[in-house]
Amino acid sequence: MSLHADVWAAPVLAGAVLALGAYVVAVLDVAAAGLVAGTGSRRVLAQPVRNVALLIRQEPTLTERPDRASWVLAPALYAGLAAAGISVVPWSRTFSIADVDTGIVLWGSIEALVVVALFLHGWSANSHQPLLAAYRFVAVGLSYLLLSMFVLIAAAIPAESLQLSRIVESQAGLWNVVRQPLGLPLFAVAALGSTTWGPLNLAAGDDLSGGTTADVSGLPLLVWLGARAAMLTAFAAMGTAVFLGGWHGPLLPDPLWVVLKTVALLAALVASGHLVARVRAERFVTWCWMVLLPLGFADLALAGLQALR
Amino acid sequence: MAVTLLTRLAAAAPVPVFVARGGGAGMVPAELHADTRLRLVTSARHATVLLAAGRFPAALGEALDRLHDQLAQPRRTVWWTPDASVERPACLEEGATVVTGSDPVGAVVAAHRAALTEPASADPPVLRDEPPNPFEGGGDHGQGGEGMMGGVPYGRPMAMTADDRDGLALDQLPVVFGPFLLGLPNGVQVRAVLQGGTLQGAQLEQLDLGDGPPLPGSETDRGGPCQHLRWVADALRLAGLDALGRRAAGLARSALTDRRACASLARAVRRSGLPATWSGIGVLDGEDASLRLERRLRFDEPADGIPLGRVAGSLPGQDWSDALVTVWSASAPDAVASAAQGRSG
Repeated sequence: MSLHADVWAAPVLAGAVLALGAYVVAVLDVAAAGLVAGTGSRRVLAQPVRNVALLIRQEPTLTERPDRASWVLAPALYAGLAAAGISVVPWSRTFSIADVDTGIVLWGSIEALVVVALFLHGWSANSHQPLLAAYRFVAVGLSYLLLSMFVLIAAAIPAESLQLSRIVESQAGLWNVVRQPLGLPLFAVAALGSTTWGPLNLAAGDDLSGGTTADVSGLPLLVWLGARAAMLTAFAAMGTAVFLGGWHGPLLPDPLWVVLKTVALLAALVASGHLVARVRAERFVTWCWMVLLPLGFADLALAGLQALR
Repeated sequence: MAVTLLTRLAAAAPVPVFVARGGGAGMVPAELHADTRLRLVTSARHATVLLAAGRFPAALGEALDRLHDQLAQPRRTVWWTPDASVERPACLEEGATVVTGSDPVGAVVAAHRAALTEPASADPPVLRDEPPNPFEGGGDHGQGGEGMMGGVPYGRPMAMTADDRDGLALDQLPVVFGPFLLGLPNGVQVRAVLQGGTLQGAQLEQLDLGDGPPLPGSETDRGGPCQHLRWVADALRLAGLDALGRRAAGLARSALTDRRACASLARAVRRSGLPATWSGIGVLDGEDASLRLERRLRFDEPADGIPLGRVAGSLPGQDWSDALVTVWSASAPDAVASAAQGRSG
């Protein structure tokens, strides 16, 4: 039996969790960059705050004849999808913001709509580099979305439910990361793809002058970057629930386990951005269809066989 | 009070600076990436300071003026040059801070803080906010071309359908990249015809870089680890490995031949998968981008660039990002400065 947040409190709670998550992502990013660069990790807590202040002080710029409505809608849609995603994640055995019966299905639809938000962001600037970034992102989108679908369905099989709290409960004896070892790595690929982060940063790379953000500055840039970090947080929280046993763990209170596991997963995802080179879109699609998707199918088949035993 | 706090926080942030490399700058500006007070950005929209390094005569100066006006307000300009008496574009006239020494970082940080704390003194635009050409010509809407496609409204070519490599009739979009883009040698711009993200044709143009003394430090561009480290620093930024690029820039700045540190960097680059990612891209003279990267990572062989004309010939059919890797991996900015204009497609 789970408690749900009040209909008015839910968006506030989801927004607060994601804002905090975005800050943690920024701190981890500064720390990881300092370690890899060998410049140390001083001012890791203050630097994200200073960067935010700078973006607030910077004036937004306009391109010639942009699709203004879409330019505003894209970051709002991205942030809204992250909020919807974090809402279905259970924080303890008694509390979720919205523990709907079909949480996994809702999450799948969120991942699909992320493609729309990112393409809209690249399209709406009416500028060639953002548009190229949008093309490049959409070209790889289907590949990693299918991966995610396979591994999420596999995780739902032992729980015999599409509800996230039931999936976490099913991991009381053994976490899915052990029971289905291919699941979490493949889900991480989907997380990096959907947030265009690290080696899958195909829509915001420096080879395209920042990709979909190439012509965005000031507050609109802050909102977009915040939404992207929030989505990474939502993915990490979902990965925690589905593969890392959610609230399960000794001694500490349930929500603390969820937070600790989410931050650990975030740290791994963020670090990958400083350690692994960006993939080439065409080669990634080939690799995805030839190697990763068969592995995803094997993960699903393994879960099915385990359920039949 | 709140505004003051916000301004103080913003002024203390690492300075987002766009570095435009002109004549005589060589690859010296790559070392700026090592300084944690700065954050080198690849879009002018993200910068508060435009750092113009070197000379900007004629067409390069016009491009710099256009770039300058794309920076968001509040903004400032710093001109890093050994000789401020040479020809300069409008954005480097009054208002720009001139640095003639070897270290512009202090001036960039001061310009950033001044832009935020004294917004009234921020750089005004230098160009009029109007299309470069009038809207005129044939076609249904006076744009030239056919129907609602093609033509050059306002002097800008519009997309027109043409067969792609698979025989499908898709839009072809003529665009110009550069001359201040990460991955392009100083003063080089690409006139490209794109179908989706694929290049159907490309011309590489070397704009005039002018004559005069080089920036301090550029003499080390030719030969020695420093040259390679600067090149590797930019290559890593291009590959999304910004932090590793900062490490390479730091080693370049130290100007010491710390072989162990260089070898450690090379191992980190190989572990990142970059050589594998670049394999098969831009094969020229029997070498692809991956092999050219590996040669750079040995830090001791002289590297000569491949003439732009031959590089341009290899670009059609490549994805734009691969094309950029091809151009950068085949470049040695001190060598290409004198190379002839090349075209293909």
